[in-house]
Amino acid sequence: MRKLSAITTYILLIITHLSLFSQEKQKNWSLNGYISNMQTVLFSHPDSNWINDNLIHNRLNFKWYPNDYLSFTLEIRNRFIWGDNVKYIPGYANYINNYDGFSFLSKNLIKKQSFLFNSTVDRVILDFSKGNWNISLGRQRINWGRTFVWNPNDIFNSYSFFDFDYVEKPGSDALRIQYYTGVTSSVELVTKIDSAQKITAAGLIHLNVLNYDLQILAGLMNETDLVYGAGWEGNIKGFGFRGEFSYFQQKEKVANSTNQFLMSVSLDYTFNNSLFVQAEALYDEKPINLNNNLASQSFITTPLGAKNLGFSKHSWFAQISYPFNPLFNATVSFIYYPDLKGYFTGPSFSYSLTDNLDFSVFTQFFSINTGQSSRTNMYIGFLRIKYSF
Amino acid sequence: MKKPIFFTIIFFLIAGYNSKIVAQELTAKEIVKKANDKMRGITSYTEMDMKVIRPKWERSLSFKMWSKNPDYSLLYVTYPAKEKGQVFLKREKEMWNWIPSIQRMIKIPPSMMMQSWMGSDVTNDDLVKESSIVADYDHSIIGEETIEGYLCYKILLIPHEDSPVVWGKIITWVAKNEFITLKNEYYDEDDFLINSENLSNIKNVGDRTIPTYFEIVPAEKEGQKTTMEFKKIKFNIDIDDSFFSIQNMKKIR
Repeated sequence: MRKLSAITTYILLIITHLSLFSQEKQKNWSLNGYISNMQTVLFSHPDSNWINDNLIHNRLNFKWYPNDYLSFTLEIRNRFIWGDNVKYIPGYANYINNYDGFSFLSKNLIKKQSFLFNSTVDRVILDFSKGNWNISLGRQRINWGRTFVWNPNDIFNSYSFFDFDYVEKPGSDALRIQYYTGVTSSVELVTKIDSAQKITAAGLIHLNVLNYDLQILAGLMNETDLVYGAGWEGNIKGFGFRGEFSYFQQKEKVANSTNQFLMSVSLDYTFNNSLFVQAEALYDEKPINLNNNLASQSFITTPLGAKNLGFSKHSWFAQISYPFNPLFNATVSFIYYPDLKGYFTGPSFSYSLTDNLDFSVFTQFFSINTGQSSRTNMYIGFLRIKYSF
Repeated sequence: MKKPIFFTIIFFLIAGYNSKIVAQELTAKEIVKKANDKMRGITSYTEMDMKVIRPKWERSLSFKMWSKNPDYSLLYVTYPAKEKGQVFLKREKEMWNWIPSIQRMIKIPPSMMMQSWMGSDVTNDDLVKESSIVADYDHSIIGEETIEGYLCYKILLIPHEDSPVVWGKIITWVAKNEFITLKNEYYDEDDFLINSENLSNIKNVGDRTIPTYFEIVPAEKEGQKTTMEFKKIKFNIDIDDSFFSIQNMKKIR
């Protein structure tokens, strides 16, 4: 606890101190972020018990540029949560505090029967950049994904598509070395360590050929799987056309060998009237077995690894987004899981109140087949007001 | 996926702005060329505020932009906070969007480049078809008028019959002594005025004197306009092609 507040105090000191000297010349630091309040309600049937939660979510992004070659990044995510989950779900506080990395960077600063205050440093990066080289060390997001929903190439991260309130996604404790071989091409090597002290290490080659961004990667994931993959981004007749695939090969042969191939392909198009449509498909050779476990929110919030993306051998995603007027945008997403005879649908609406203030309504509805003739449903609704600074 | 907010369009806006009018008739051509050259440099650095103004609301966008005509631009968003730090790169026909918060480089397909920002009055055709406007119009001087104290040539632009142009005609006013464009009017095929563009706040920006405030006013929509103000503009800066790189997108600020 002391550690975190010390950091915060330090930031404030730097800011107030530096602001005295920052004049015409470009500042060598920046601070931005957001604060939002989000109310959540969850139920399996409108007549059943409603589970209510509230989240005040604050993010602070601090950057410091001591000289032309070095930069330092510190980003903190603060969450104040109260409601039924905190009260009634055993281990909820631990679940919130859980981070796949060095544990001392996240802490439940206050943990009471009905509320919880968690602070997590999810980025802390020292970055060195000179000539064509770029080296960064620390907790950082290494995003190798090329599509938008399922990312078999995103082997350094795990996240859930449904966790829309955390767009930054968790960082990895990693060392990343990049060398830019040209204006649109590069090679990189990355290694990270997770909370179980397992190493993931991989290399990626990034090229631009015939107006396509291409990447090829190979490495070792969590010390258990060799991974080979590739991805692309380009366009066909104005459509965005993206895709990625990975093959995971278990390093040591065991009884239940889980060699696995995953691939996602996505198309998107924006019409002249700003209507935006997008579709994505996932093939997962060995999908996660849900064990009819939908009711335990894990389906939605559990971060997924690059190897565990599908709940069904094939998954289909579609999304339509349309600004009814420049301030008001509506989006509907849909996912179909054939093996579960299940689907997800998520209409959402956002309204821009000012340049920096947005009001949004998100809904998520899940329905899967959980037996011969029974279905499990879950409805979640979110109201969010968010101020960015 | 979050749609990259259509700053994309601004690339065309600025990179292509200056080639708007080229006269065929020699004298008109000379006048317009001079006016064009005023707003043009092989390279430029711009800091701009853009506002969409509606009767009940107003939204702003600010950015920095580096350009090397005609192929390269790099744009860094400085306002609003939510979008700050986003970078757009255009290299010839390819475009990328860097979103630092999610550390994601997105390759932008052509369809996404057609968007306008917040329903601004700058239409897609204005922007994207800039270059064709050069070749697709006939130009002639139709008079002289005074605008904001400047005596101006009034020049008419009529599109060629087979050209894919949305306007029926364009009238432009160029200051006689300074060769600065001060006003453009855009008409539809039935000769109705659609948009007026007023240029003002004429300033010496170092190596030349140019308007630094642009206002696009739709004719039939009261209380509605889009404004663009150059907070800073420098022409012919020393900038290498390699500045417009994926690496620099992640570094620029």
